[in-house]
Amino acid sequence: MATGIRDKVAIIGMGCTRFGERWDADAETLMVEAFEECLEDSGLEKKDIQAAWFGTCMEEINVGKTGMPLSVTLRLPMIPVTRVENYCATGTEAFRGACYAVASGAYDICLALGVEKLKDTGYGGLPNPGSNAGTLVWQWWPNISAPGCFAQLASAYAAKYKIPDRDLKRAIAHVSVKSHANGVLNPKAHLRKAVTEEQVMNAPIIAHPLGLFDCCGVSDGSACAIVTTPEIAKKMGKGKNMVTVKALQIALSNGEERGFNRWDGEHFMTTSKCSTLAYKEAGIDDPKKEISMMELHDCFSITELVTYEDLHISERGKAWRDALDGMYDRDGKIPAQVDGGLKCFGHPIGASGLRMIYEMYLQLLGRAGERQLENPRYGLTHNLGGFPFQNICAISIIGKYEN
Amino acid sequence: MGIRAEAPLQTALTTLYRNRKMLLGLVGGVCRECGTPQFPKSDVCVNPECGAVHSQDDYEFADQPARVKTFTGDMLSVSVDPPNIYGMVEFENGGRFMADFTDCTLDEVKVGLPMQMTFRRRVVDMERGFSSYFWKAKPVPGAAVEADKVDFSGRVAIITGAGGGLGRAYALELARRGAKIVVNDLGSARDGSGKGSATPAEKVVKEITDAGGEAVANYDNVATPEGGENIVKTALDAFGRVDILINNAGILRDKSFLKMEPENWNAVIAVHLKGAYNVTRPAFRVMKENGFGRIIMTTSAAGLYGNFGQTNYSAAKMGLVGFMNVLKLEGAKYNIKVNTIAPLAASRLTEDIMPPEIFEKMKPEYVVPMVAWLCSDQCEVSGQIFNAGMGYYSRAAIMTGRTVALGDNDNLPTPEDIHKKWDDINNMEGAKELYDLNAAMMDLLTGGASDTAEPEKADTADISPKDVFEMMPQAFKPEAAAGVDVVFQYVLDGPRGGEWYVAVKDQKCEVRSGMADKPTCTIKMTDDNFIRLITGKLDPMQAFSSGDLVVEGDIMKSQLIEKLFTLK
Repeated sequence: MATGIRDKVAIIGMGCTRFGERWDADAETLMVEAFEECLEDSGLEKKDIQAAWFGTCMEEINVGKTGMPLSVTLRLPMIPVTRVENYCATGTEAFRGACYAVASGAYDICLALGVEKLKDTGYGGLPNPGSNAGTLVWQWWPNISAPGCFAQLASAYAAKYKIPDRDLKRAIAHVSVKSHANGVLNPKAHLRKAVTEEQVMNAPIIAHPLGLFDCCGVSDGSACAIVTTPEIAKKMGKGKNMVTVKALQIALSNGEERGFNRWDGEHFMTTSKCSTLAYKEAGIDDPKKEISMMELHDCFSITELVTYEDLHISERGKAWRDALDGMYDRDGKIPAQVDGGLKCFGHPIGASGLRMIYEMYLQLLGRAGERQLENPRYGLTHNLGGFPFQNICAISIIGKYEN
Repeated sequence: MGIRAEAPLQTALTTLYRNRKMLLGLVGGVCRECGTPQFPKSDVCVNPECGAVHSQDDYEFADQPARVKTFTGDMLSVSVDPPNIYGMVEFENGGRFMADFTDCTLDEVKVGLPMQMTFRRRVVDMERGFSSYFWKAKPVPGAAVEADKVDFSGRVAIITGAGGGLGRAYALELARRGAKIVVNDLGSARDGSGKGSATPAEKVVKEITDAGGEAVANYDNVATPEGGENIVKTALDAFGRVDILINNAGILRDKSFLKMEPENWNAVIAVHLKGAYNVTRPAFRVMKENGFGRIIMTTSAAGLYGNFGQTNYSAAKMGLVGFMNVLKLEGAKYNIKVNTIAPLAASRLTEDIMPPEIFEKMKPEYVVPMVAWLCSDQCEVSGQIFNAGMGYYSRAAIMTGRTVALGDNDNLPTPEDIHKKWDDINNMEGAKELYDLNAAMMDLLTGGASDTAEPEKADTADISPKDVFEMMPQAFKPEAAAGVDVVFQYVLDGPRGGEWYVAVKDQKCEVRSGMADKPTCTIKMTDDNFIRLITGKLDPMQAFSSGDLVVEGDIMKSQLIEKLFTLK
């Protein structure tokens, strides 16, 4: 009988570059920057790493296919390197591979690294899917954009719960205002300017009703983690204040949302299921009481808002009120996007999942500087790839080792 | 639907070969095992409870009834005619997909709007060597009007005193439009005396359920807090929520003032004023929690304007107006709108006061549409009073005249000073409506500053934007307006601000307050700056570049204003 990942893997080192428009750095430089911080944090040497998982999403652009961009860049000593890709959930997928390798007992020490270099591609946002997107994609959604897909959550959410458009707009504005306020405190964040609710509400529309400040941009950056078992971590002298993995879950759409008349278009079926399994794996009975902080996949403000409900923290139809009441602000009950989130820390696709875990890790170790929260216990990360109607949801929960 | 048939070359041939029918005829599949229509036809059934393999026959979606499920207007997407309006359509008999609504404007599209699929065009991209077949979803003719209808589906309404007259008429109409109703009626005599009878409420419930609606009866007395709690509890027990409350219950005990014994006074206050408090308080709690509420108070012309022999009733009725004024503020954050109706209708309370022929025309049915509108999701106003009856509708408001400032701390005003300024103080010309106590204070203080303020300020205080808009038709120069068809929308901030629009067409000029449907351009500024601009004290270009004047829409057209009007 499977027993899940809880407390079978310890994170002993993490690193993350500054995210942003890194004209100064190529993808290789970013990988090295994140890796050096991580290796120093772990106290290990490169030769101690036995296997690696490498996450990058837009593979044609600036990084390359296979695991070799990682093995060659870091000059890893001819060890196994696996490249993974699962849309925007790629970073968590890489972490998951490294964790499972350690938990299985196949290896003692593994590396997970995600990277993306997007700002010098010459276009804004993400590229339209090309021929790599599958034969049916052109029939399903020939002309949509990412903001247009996620914006539809808002129309469906407002209709289902009969929320006036203006009220919903204000609630999602608050989501962005909060993330911007947090981003100000983060020296590694891409965007570090506070914005007001009025600025957000009056910004040009990108895809109705999402305006400029409801959308995250893309960034250059890299993040990584070194994992081992708690036993080895203790032997390395990391027993005190050890951070372990409590849950790792991924759920993928099967096309039901897009093709079968059941889903109302206002939430994520995957996240709803994935979070339930993650809480079970972590032994969490009441997430609203037990989760101390979260990093959510706020590619768009409305995504974050409905995710509050899919994580079973806000009640259905009530997240917009909770957001306005400040429940997810940094001084709220369950702070979300403490590091600024995708919105402000930035979104280098392959690195984002690991970046979220990085912030939770810093918080748990009391190393988050000005952003430090008081004595957090569990941190949740939610990493989403795809579209509301067909997506990949990856959730991790990490926390202090309490055994 | 934007089916872009063949995109990059390596997928184009396979896709086109496999899916010709799908592209040209909007053909998907229907599962033989579970009957689920699906698009596209796939190897494995999309119904998660079925999952049958190779079970699908062809199924044509083109003529299937469909509705909008989600939508957006996307400035970034690629379409035949960007910016693109698209979303998910859901077919009533099963199946859904992303569709283009490209011929619609954004405000035409609503979740639930009935759509039909039509083939739009085949586009050949010579450069890249592939062709695209575009289907689109367009609204079913008349569907948009249908979708704009006031609809109470999913809403729960409490109507007090709904056993007869107005209350019954409200209940029937709201129920007909989908609301679940709590029909409250004590079933007592007109003056509130006698033992209650369940019959009137039960009768109305039966009328509603016979017509296919949902309703429950409640016989509690609004005059007690327990009664009010119980009425709301009835709604929660039966339907799980409360969205609409119409405080309609009332009794009459008319007497000229000296004959008005305390019991008559108290009984009327208890039902009308305390009754509204007793029911509204528990209902407001639920509405606040849900983030939605529509509350109606019932006042009366007797209270608003006075009527002989009804001191008790009139006091209670104006008490409700004060009650509303505060509740509108406390409910604003939670989308709770509170409005007051002054119905003019024949009911038990009025049948022997009116001559029979007028009584005949005073049907509750003339009041019902106004109340139903005020209860609707679409209705955005709060804190307003409406007269309604016999086919006539108007708004009543507390208006405040222009402030006159007299004296100061060293030189306190005397009764003689009041007398001297009596004509000014008593003058209601230029009177305005003030939103709340703060606005009233601000108005009193700033409006009264004219004796001491800067001369420029005094100028701007003398003439109000409202005056300007009233003068506008006279200042209009028809000779300059040949061929001009524009709508200027003004949105002015500040205590004397508001919304007006000026429509110029066929060399005629029309000025109205409120928001125009499709303004050519929208001009936003403060009330004071507007006056300074009009009186030539503010340069428009300077104001525009400093941000004091914001023009949205067609900026070039806004420059016509100077040509079309001479205002000095």
